Amino acid sequence: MARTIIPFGPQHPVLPEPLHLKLVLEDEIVQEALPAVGYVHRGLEKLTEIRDFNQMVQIVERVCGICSMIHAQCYCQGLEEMLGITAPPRARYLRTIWSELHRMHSHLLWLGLFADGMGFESQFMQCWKIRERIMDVNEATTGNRVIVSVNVVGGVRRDLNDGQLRWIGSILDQVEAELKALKKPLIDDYTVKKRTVGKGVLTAEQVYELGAAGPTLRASGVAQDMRMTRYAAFDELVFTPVVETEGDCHARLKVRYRELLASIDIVRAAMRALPEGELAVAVKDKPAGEIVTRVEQPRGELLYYLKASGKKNLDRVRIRTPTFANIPPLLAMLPGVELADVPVVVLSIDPCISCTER
Amino acid sequence: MFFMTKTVFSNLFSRYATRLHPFVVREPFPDARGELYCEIEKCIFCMTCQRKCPSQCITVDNKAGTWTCDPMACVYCGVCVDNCPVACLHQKQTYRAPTPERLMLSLTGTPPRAARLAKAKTPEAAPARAGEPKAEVPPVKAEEPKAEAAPEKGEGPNEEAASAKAEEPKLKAAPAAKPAAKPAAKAQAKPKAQAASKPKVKAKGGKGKA
Amino acid sequence: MTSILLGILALILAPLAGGLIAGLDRRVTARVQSRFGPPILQPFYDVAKLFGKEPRMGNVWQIFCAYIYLLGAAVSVFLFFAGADLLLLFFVQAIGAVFLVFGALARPSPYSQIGAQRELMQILTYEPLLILVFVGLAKATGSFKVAAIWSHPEPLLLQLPLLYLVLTTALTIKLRKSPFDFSTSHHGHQEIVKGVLTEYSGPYLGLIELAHWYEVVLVLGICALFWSTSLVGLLVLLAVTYAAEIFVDNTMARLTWRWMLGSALLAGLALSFLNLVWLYLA
Ligand code: SF4
Ligand code: SF4
Ligand code: SF4
Repeated sequence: MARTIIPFGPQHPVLPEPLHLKLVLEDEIVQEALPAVGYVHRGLEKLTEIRDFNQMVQIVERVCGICSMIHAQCYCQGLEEMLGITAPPRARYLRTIWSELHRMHSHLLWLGLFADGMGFESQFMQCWKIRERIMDVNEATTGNRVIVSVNVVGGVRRDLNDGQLRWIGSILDQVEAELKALKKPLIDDYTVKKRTVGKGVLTAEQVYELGAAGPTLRASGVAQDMRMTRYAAFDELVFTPVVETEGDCHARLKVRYRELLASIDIVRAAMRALPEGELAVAVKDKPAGEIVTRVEQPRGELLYYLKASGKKNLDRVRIRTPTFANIPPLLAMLPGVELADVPVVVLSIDPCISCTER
Repeated sequence: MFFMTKTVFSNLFSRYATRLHPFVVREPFPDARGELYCEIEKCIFCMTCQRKCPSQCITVDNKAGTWTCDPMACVYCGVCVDNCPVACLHQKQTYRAPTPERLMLSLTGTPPRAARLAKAKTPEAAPARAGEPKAEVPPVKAEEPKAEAAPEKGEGPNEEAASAKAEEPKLKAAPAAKPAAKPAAKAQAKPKAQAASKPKVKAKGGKGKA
Repeated sequence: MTSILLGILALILAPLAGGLIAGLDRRVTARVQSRFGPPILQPFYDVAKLFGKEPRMGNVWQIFCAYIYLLGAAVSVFLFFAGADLLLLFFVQAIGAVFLVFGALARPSPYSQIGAQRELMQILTYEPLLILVFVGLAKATGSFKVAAIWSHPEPLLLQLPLLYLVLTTALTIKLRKSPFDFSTSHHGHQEIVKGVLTEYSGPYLGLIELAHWYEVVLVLGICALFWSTSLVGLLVLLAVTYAAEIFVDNTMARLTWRWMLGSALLAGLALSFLNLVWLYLA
C-alpha cells in the first residue's frame, strides 16, 4: 500500500482531548507523526492582565479539567514563596490530600480511557465506576466535583473534620480493594498485554534526552518525581517514586496503576498526621519578584513561572505542562508502530491537550 | 485470558452503577457548591462580590439598587459567597436547571443610601420597595428537592454569617458548618445504590443539627 | 412451494429478529459493564431515524454498493430458509460482503480505505472457515442442501464440535465484536473511527444496518443447523452461543488484523481439519 496520511485528531473519537497528529502511514505502519499544537488555545496566561492575583487562582484551575487542584496548588505555592509567607501546616497537609485524590481520579480516568482506546469497553466502565467514588469525595469535601476551588493564596478554603476523614478512609479502603481486584483483568490480561507489551518503547537515555515527564519518564526507569522536592506535606511524609524499567506502554500502565495504590497510602498517611491549626494566613502585601515553582501533576512535572512587580495584577504567568514535555517522546515512540496501536501509544503518555495549549 | 470473568458475572447479577439521571437524582452533598442566590434584602451594595468574582459575572449598581448575576458565566467557585461582608450570598446545593435561553438573575433591592432617604421621608415606602426577587428564581426553586429549600433559607445565612469579613474569620466558619457534612456524606457513600431515598433522610437530620 | 413461502417469510421476519437480537445484545452488554443500557427496541429507533434523514452521499457507486450488500444478505437469508444449496448461499453472501468493501473503497477517505482493507482481511479469514464448516456439514449429512441437513436425524453438534467452534469464530467476526472489531466497531472509539462505515450516512447507513441484521440471522441460522432435531436444543444452543459472544466481547481488548491472520485463522483451520479428519476416520 502506498503512503497515506491519516489525520489523527483534533476531533477524533478515540482521543479524550483534541490532540492533532498527522500520521504518515505505509502499510498501516506509522512512518512519521507530525503534531500540530494550538487547537484549543484559550489564552489563560494572558488573563493575568485583567484579573488580579487572587482571581488568577480560579483561572489557573481551569487550565486543566482533571488536575485543577494541582494547578492552583502550584500557583499558590509560588505566590506564597514570593510573598514570603508559608501556608499553615494544616493547609499544606490538606493540599496534599486533595492533590493526591486528584491524582487518583486522574489516573483512574486514564485507565478507563486507555482500556477504551484498545477496545476494552467493559474495563472502561470498571475504572470509571471506581473513579466515581473519588469524585464523590471531592464533591462532599470541597463542594465541586472537578474544579474544586479549595486553594487561596496563603492556604486553603475548606477544612476536613474528623467525620469526613473517617469517611474518606472508608472510601479509600473500598477503592483499594477494587483496585486490587482490577489488577488481573487489567494488567495481566492476555489481550491487554498483547496490545501494550513492547509497544512504543523508549529507553532511559531516550526519555531523559527528550525531556519526558511523569509516568512516561518513570516507566523507562528514571526515578524522577517532583514530589521528591518535598513540597507541601511531602517534607514530612515518606515518599518513594514508582518506577518501572521496560519503557513500553505496559510499563506506563503499571506505573500509573501502582501510583494509584501509592496515592492511597499517601492520603492515609497525610490524614493520620494531619496537624491542627489555621487554614490560611492573611495576605497583606502585593507580590513582587520572580519565581519558578514545580509540583508533580498526574501527568508529570508542572512548572509555573510567575513574575510580579507589586501590582495587583501579575506581570507574567507562564505555565509549562507535562504533556507539552511529553510530546517529543511521543513523536519518538510512534514511528514503526502499527496504526491499530496508535491510540494505545498516544494515550500511554496520558495526553492532556487543554493544559498544553492553555 | 479470561480474568475479567468474575467481574462480568458479578456485574450481570448486581445492580447497575449508573443512574437514570433525569428520573433518579442523587441527593446533593450538604457542602456542595451549586447555584448562586442572593438575599437582596440584606445586601448593602458594597460591590465586593463584583470585584472578587474571578469570572466577573456579577454586576452591582449601588445607585439603582440592582444586583445582577449572569448565571451562565458563574463557575460555582464560591469566592463571592466567602467574601460578602453581610453574608447575603449563598449557594444552593444543586445546579441550575438547563434552559434554552440565556437568563440573567437580576434582583432589585434598596441601596443603603436610598433606604436612609426613604426612611426619612416616608417610613412605609422602604419595606414596600425592598426585595423583589424577579423572574427566574421561583421556577428554578420549584425543581429542587424540598429538603433544603426551607431550612437553607433560615439557617444557611447564620452559618456563613460567621464567615463575614475577608480572610480570617472565614476560616472559622468552615469547621462550624462541618457537623452537617459528616453524617450525610457518610450515608451517601455506604449504600451501593445511591438512590435518592436514604441520603435524603440523613441530609435532613444533618441540617437540623447545624 | 412451501420452501419458497418459508423463504419469503424469513425475508420479512429476519430484520425483526436481527434488530431484536441487537437490542438484547446491547442491553445485556450494558448490564455486563454495569450500565443500565438502552431500550430493547433502540436498534429499530436508530434505523428508523436513519431512514428519516436526508440522503447525502459522496457518489452513486457507494449507494449502489449499499443496495447490493443488502441484496446479497437478504437473498442469502432467503436461500437459507428456502432450503437451498449451502454453496450457492455461500457465494451470494460473499458477493454482498465484497460489495460492502467496494462501497468503502469508493471514497478517498483514509479511514474508509483502511477500514475496507481490514474488512477484506476479515473476509479472507472467515470465508475459508465458513466453507470448511459447510464441507463438514456436507460430509456428515451427505448433502449440501440446507433442507437435507436440517432433517438430519441427530444433532450435528456431536459430530462436529470443533467445526462449531470455528463457526462461532466466524460469527464473532461477523458480529464485529472484540477481539475482531477492527474494520468497524460498534462504537467509533477506534483509530479509524467507523472504518468501512465512516463514509456512509443517513438512509444508506440504515440499509447497511438492515443488511447486517440479515447477516446475523444467517450466521445464527447456520449455527442452528448444528442442533436441528429439537426446538429447545436449538434455542439453547443459540442462546448459549450468543451469550458466549457477549462474554468474549467483554473480557477482551480489540486485537489487530495481523493477530487475526496469524493466530485466529491458523487455529480455525487447524480445528477444522482436525474435525474433518475425525469425520473421515469415524
Ligand atoms: S454529555 Fe450528554 S450524552 Fe454524554 S453522558 Fe452527558 S448527558 Fe449523556
Ligand atoms: S458583597 Fe454581598 S453585600 Fe456586597 S454587593 Fe455583593 S451581595 Fe451585596
Ligand atoms: S460563585 Fe464564583 S463565579 Fe459565581 S458569582 Fe460567585 S465568585 Fe463569581
